[in-house]
Amino acid sequence: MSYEINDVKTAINHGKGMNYHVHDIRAEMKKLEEEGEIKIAHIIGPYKEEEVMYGIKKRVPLDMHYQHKSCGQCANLPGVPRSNFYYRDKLGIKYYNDMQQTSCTAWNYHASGLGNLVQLGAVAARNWHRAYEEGYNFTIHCVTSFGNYLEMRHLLVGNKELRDEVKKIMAKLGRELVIPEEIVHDSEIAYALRDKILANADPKRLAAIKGLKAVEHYGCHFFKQVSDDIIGGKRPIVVGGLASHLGVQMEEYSKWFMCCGFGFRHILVNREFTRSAQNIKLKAIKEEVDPDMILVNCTGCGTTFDKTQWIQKAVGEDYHYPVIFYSQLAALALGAHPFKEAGLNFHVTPVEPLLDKMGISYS
Amino acid sequence: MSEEVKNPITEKIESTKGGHFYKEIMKDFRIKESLHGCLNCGTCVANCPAAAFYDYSPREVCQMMIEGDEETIEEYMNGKIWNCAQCFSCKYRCPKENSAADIVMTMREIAVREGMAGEALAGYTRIAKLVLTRGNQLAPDMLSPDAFPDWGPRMIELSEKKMEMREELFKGFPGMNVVDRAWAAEDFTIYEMQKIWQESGALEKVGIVFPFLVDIVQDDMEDKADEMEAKIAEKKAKLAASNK
Ligand code: SF4
Ligand code: SF4
Repeated sequence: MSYEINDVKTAINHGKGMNYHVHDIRAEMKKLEEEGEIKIAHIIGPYKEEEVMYGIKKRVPLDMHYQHKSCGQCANLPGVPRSNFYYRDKLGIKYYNDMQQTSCTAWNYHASGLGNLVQLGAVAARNWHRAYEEGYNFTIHCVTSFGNYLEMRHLLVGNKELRDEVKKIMAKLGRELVIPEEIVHDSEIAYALRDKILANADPKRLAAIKGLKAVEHYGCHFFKQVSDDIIGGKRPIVVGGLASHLGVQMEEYSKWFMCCGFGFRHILVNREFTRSAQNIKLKAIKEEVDPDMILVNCTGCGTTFDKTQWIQKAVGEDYHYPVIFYSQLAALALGAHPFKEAGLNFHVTPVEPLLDKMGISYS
Repeated sequence: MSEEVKNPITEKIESTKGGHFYKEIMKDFRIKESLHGCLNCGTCVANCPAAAFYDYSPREVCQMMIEGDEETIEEYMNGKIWNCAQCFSCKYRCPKENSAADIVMTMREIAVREGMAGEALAGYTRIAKLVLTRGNQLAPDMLSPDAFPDWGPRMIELSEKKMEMREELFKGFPGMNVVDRAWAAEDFTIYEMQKIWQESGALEKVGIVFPFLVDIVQDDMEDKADEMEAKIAEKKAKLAASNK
């Protein structure tokens, strides 16, 4: 019996016909829901199915978005949450910007070891419950939060002891453990909406975007912490997929997989590590591609790439790659003012040369 | 001689496996998902940014746990664990699906609990304080140019103009134009966050590193308690009614 190479590849990519490690948490959640062990916040309104590992379908909610904001973005790159609001306004998507949301506290946890799993689980459950009680689908701006919530869902579904502890705390707050049917990052949503973004884009802006050369970098907590529930499977596609849909020429570089050097604690207290890791990535990007911009979806990586280029002069390097989030690109395509509505003026690595090249005025 | 001949390798494992830190680490339920034997292949090391720059190795992390090598575990507990970037590249690439990242995280928790994290967390007070008093982890005010001189001259400019720039950006988005926190989380929300830290035992842990912070949080909670607990009682009643 012979196999076509493509069939084998497909089988490997999607695990079709193989029992090896095919694991869908949704089945476990359904079982726990039937047993009355957990509640599930089911998707409200329309959704689009996108494939994750093993051909499993992730249902991406297309409307009624609870906006789980990122503290790092709001403080440091506020153009990102603003762009996330902007593209929803433009596409007529209803969203909820909640002042009763807290940070997920996972940045703190991974950097310091302060906190514990019950605390992280309860903070997650409290934010999930906020979306549930307001009648919105839970969606996440931050990659640190996304990785953390994927992990908390995994741990809370898989471990009764932890679940009971978290439930106890929820009860003391007058809340319940309600796990979202899908844990979705905002870049996955923007990707699922790519046709709609393209259809609503400003033709002049699309012409300006067309042919721009870009590389992508994904946050480690987007695809390495829990790596079986990301659109596209093990190698993420959402940022480059959206960008190329809008006409960007996406390029590969050898160090795509490598961590940006953020390191959770290193960006604060060991920045020599951050700068060194950055230099490795930036060098590969420069030598192999020399793009017009670096596209990202992660708070920590966006910060690191944006803030750590200038200092590379100290080792004789001259990098000048604007760091653009997927949603800032979407906002630009939809006609956003680059500063007043996409907040690109908050970036430290100058974006002006890129905007000049695109013929977009910013003054 | 009637003495048993002993295998020097297993002897070492047996005599060290009972080590204090080893036992503490093994108590964490994540470990059973993080260790599945190790090929010593070094794939994790090749993908580890910390191994590229420090005397640190995710392979060694997995090996020391499989062997119960308390001496090496102690070395890691005493400092090396803080080199890890928590990037999970090791977990993603390991053919045995081991996770040095999760083992290290467990060890960091233990280091805090056992009062060994003081030095590692020296630059960390402001973040911990913000989490416990504002419900956020970062604020525009914390990104002062003197704390980040290597972020360049543009950072100084930004820092001077941030108020007006934010006002322009967030026109029509209440709660977003703040500089002492990431967004204006409500008092009740902050109280809930504090209560979670208290009830989960996490606040007590904070007290081991930053005792003054626990006082601040407890005072803050006491000041608000009556009003906030009344709100929680309302929520409980509503929830009970809706579940009937
Ligand atoms: S990649 Fe896995 S199997 Fe290979 S050395 Fe590292 S921990 Fe061991
Ligand atoms: S999580 Fe830590 S040990 Fe694993 S690859 Fe990243 S830096 Fe290395």
